[in-house]
Amino acid sequence: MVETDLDLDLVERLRGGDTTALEVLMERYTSRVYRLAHGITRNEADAQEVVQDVFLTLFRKIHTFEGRAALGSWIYRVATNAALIKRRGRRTDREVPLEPPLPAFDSDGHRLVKRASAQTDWSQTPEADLLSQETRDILNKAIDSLPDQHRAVLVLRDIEGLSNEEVAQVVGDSVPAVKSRLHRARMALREELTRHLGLRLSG
Amino acid sequence: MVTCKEFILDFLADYLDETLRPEILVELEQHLEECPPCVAYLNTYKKTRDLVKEAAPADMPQEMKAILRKFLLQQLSKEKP
Repeated sequence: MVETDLDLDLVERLRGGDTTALEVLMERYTSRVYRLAHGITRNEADAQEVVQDVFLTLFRKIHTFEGRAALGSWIYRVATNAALIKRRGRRTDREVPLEPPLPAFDSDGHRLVKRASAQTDWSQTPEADLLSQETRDILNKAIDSLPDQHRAVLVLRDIEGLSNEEVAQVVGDSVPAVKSRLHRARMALREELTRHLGLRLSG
Repeated sequence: MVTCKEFILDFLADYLDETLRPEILVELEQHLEECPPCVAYLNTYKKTRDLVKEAAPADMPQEMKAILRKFLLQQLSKEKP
């Protein structure tokens, strides 16, 4: 996300009610906003609604954009918030804190199990296995099950490719908090995949 | 001396981001040379990250984008002062 003079020009035109400026922004950002919204809401219809809401908001609320952050960062923030609100509206259960299972350690912090096996290092598995529909389903289900805030930072960092600092700016949190949440999310997903792939390799 | 627990909980993410201080990095790489389970954890953690990226959905369908654009422009031109 790089702020350019072109962005500032677009902002000025939007403030003036120029809808062609909005068209340019839509050209540039629709794919990203959709992917982010889908990553958080996990639902195509909701994601499309979020895209719509985001661009409406952009146009109507451009006077609230102070230019302290880059325009792209602002768009990501609006999109993330809209997606989280939409998702919260659908959720029927309360979210529990994420405590991914860890390997067993002794009191000094060393692993209790010192061997590694094919079951534990499934990263060497042929690509075909890793991209099977079954594996995709397991992974998607695990991503669905993440608490919303954890999934949001995972999508922003590992799918959208924002830096830790950019993610922190978008979600309005500290960098250490973002890093911790991200790490837990990845660990939790890794556990699910290990359970699934480990069983398959040994069976 | 980096322990397995420290590696997994405290250093792994920064290791992949390449933001570890050199002193820690040296100790960590030494640990990895002697600890196959931690190497396995690292490899599967990295692979998980790759798979998440691949699991991302395809783009919004072009027809939907066109419909949305049309709808929004209609909507907003009604609102213009």
